[in-house]
Amino acid sequence: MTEKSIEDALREMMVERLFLKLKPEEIDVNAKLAEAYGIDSVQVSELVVGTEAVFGITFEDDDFDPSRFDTVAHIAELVRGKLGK
Amino acid sequence: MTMPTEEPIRFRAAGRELTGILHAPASPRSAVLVVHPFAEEKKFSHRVLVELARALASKDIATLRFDLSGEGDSSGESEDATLDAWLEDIAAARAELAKRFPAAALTLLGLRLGATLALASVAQSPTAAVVLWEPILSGAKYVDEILRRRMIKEMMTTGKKATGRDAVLAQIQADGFLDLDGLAIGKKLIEGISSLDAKALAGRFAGRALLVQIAFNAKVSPALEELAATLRAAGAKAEAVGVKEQVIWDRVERVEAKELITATVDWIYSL
Repeated sequence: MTEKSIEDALREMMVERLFLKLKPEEIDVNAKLAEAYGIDSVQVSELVVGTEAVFGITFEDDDFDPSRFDTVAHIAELVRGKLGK
Repeated sequence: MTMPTEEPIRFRAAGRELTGILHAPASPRSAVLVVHPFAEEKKFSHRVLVELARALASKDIATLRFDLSGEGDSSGESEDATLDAWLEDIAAARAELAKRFPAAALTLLGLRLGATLALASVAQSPTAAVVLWEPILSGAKYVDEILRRRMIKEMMTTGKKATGRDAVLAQIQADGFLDLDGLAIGKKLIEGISSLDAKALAGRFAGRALLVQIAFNAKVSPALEELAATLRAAGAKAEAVGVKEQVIWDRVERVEAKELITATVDWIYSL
């Protein structure tokens, strides 16, 4: 999976799982999820579960740092690290 | 046509006073006991369970929604609740329905942990049918999921790195309870929930069973299919279906869940 497609896959998953009334491409990968799209802690939980399912990875307790889950780009970076890319 | 009544009722389970709402049509064709989910999931799913009970009552199916001990309007503190006490509560609610409607076949219906508790109850003492909405398959994994959600909430609300699960578990051992958004969950209940294994329980029920996956893609997970297969192997007539709905147990805003309610009411009505 390319870097671009990790971000695309995250955006598609977000729209689908969080029932966002947006098109995946309308999500700015660098926008703060809470401020730009109103993503709350419950939705971040769903995002975590969805990311693990889509990429076949597991987040460890140490990963739960707010700066790693605040934008699509940062989540993608975390995923790339898990996938060794 | 007489409209179904909605009546608050009280009954006892081993000295504990339990409170419920009985949705009673004039001549019920069958009865349903609803077992609510756990902690915040109970609060978020409340409205859907009310609408389910009303939809069932409109089809002449009596329905009892009640609060387990230490929850809602029932007696006791959340910190003192145990798995055994909750199974006694469900048995008492079943007896209450049987007393009021002796001729009505009983279906137990639960959501999430409530579904697994319903399965545990019918494994102890069978009923005609059971409906499992998104049952918790592994109690241990569920407790882990609760701890992880707690971490994520802490991370999001404090803006800091969350306390790890090992530290939270050590705190539970020290305090005797888990603070879950201000709700004290006793260590004994956590241990009881952790011991639940839906597959082991499914091997002890041979009635009718409907297993429902509530998912964004309406797909039934392999794990839920496996649970249905375990029920069938035990002699149950079990089917697993997927319903496309927003999750109904973790959203503050109202979710209507029309498809879920219709599919469930139709299935129970057809029994």
